[in-house]
Amino acid sequence: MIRRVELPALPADIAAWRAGEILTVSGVVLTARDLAHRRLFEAAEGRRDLPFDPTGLPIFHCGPLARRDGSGWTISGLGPTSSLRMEATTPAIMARFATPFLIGKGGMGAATRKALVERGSAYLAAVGGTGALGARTVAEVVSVAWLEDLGMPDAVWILRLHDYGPLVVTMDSRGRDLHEEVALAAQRALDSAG
Amino acid sequence: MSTQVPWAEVLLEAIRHASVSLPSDIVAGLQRALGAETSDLARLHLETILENERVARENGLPLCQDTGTPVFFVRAGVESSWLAAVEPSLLDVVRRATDSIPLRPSAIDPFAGRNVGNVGRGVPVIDWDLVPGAEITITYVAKGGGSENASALLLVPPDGGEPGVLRAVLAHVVRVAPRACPPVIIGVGIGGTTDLALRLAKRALIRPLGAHHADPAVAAFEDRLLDAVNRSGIGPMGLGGSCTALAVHADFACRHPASLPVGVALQCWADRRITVRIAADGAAEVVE
Repeated sequence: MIRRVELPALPADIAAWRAGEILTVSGVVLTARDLAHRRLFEAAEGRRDLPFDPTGLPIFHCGPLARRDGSGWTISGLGPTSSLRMEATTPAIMARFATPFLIGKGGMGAATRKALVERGSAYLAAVGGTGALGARTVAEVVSVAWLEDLGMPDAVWILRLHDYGPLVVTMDSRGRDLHEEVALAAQRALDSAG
Repeated sequence: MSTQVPWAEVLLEAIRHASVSLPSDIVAGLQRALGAETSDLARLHLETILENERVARENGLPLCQDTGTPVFFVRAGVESSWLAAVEPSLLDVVRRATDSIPLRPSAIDPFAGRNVGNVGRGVPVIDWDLVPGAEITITYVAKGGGSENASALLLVPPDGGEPGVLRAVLAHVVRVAPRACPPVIIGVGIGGTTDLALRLAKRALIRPLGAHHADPAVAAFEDRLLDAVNRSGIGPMGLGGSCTALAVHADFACRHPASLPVGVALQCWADRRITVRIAADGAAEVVE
């Protein structure tokens, strides 16, 4: 029922992920939320140079809890933050950096839904709040950028994960969006209850 | 020095405990929700949430990477001789907890744009309530950002009465609950001034799960709202199911003829809270 995905995943495979499928991912992802996501957008528009290469890496809306461990880092908490805040800047970032798919929670909006269809991409929803389970899937902290000026949660962490999940495909390349389906049904129930 | 207050170690250990495990009433509520869910996806979410709690507790890992904004609800007995020591000791304990548990540095100066750790202007949040006696009780809550973003101050037309309040709160919760890490706890503060309405909502969140308001009319409102929210079908993490909220906790204050402010505060399922009681002699114990 839960399917393992090794990264990088083939574009054709990502395009074939269907809403409702449950996956785990193993491989390298990049965290970006709020402030870092804004910087990625500036870079996508050619207004900023990046100290790392995000090309081809899945973007995980996440501000991890990390602890210094000698010269490196141990991740003590890893899980999703609400993705909708990153909505406005997502299509440009995905186009510029060939982002294969997104991981977050709560779903996104119409602009991202359209971008996912155009790009044959998908959005995977992690279970919010389950940072302890997530921490145990971090195989390696590859690098961290902007830690000094943005702080731990807003920094970009490039992480190698092992069987991170469960992740639910909630927005797929055919334009299905489980978040929106549930929200619309809830709204209809509310309206009909008067 | 603030570290020398007799309760510092008890409070530090309490914060650690609250960070890495859920209160027993929340675990029981999540287990009841799991028992009632029929959707596979909703069950997977609740099972993962409960598994996360077990792994966090057994390994001493914070439940959630968002270790939240530290909030202390202080019920301070005015005859306690320790009042002046409370605030400095709370700041000191949060600094130590940040290093030792660890907690994620999550306080950002909105003008400087700098992450200052977990102690800065206004943070931790300390909500003071002066009460008779010489005892101090301190309830710590780690308030996550996702559920905090689902808060609202609703200015409801007063002529709609209680049904108008229920409709307004329900419409708001249905819109925002999917991004507040449901199943949530819903705090509602009805009446008062705007600031009081929100404070009542926040204070209601820390009641034991599902503890009704003493006033039967308010308790009935809580039941009606909980039933309506759960009929929305939003479910765990907003992906469908029968449990969107574990409980509604409401409170009220008298209002001005022109105003009916309603404060709404949501608490994610990761309800990290714990209460410490400080006796007149400074001895401290965890009470829940």
